[in-house]
Amino acid sequence: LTYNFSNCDFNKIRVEYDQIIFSDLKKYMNGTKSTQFNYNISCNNPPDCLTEIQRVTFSPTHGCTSLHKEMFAVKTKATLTLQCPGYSGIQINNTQAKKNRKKREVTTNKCLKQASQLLGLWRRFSRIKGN
Amino acid sequence: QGEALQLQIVCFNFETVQVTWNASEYPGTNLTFLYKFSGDEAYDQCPNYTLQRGHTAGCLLEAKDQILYFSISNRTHPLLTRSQWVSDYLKPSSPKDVKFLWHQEAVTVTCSDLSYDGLLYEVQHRSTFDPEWQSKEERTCNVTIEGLDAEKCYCFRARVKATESSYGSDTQPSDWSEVTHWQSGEPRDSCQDNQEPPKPKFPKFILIS
Repeated sequence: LTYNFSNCDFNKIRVEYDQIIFSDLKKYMNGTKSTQFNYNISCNNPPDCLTEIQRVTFSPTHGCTSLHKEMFAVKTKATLTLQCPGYSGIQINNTQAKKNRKKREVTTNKCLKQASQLLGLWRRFSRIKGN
Repeated sequence: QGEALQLQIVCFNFETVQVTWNASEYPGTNLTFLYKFSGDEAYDQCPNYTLQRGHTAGCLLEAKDQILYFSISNRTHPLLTRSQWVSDYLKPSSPKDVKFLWHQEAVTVTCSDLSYDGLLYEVQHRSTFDPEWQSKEERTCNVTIEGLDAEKCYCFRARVKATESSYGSDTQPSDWSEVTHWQSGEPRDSCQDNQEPPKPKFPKFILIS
């Protein structure tokens, strides 16, 4: 199920990214040079950015299956649940699919690359003017 | 690949992007710069090369707040292929329409907000008696500085900085705005250095013992 992020409170989400999520993401990326990874996931407006952020954060990929367990991901989920009406309902259905996921794995290079895409998306989201 | 090619990128206020490379590794070679702003587009050739000693040393492009996909090649093969958010290399334009609104011992400095967010507007001031500039910054260009001495002459300047959470750590602050001078709420051409320090204010009462 995909969720439409158009009705979220973007300003509040920006504040929570700025004050909470960003430092966790930065901690996770600690020691990674800004040019270490190429970026290839972009977004154009707040709902589009949140859609990509949700996908990259919570959809496991080959080589990186447990990003959603990281602190920045937990706080992303809490923020979206708080600031996006009806978001939590959708996530309960999606969680059933994740039941058999392995324990949190060591930070792989693939996860660092995925997290750097997230940083690019969050930054883009945070500098788009207006609500 | 490409480690030998030193690169510098500056995004001027999301208006133009300047990519320059250190061509000393490839003397006498015209390196080619191909670019695109979306993963699914075809590469385009640089529309506006900058030259150094008659050979290509950089490319000037129109900017967008997007990922810049680019490749630099010599005659036979690509030397470097990258895709970076141009915003990572932002240099905002310096503040425009800087205005001063004085009220008692405080001044509110305003200027036109830029068209994108995630910035800090910094105002610095000092009087002729202060060795250092003092800074104050706000998220919008509306900065109030209090505790100013009405008699002293002050210099002010302003600039724009990009926040790390919105732009990363490879940005540059804008250039400073022109320095302006003020005394008792009035503009001055300059703050004379030989200006006497203001007389300390004595309390209104005298103790008689």
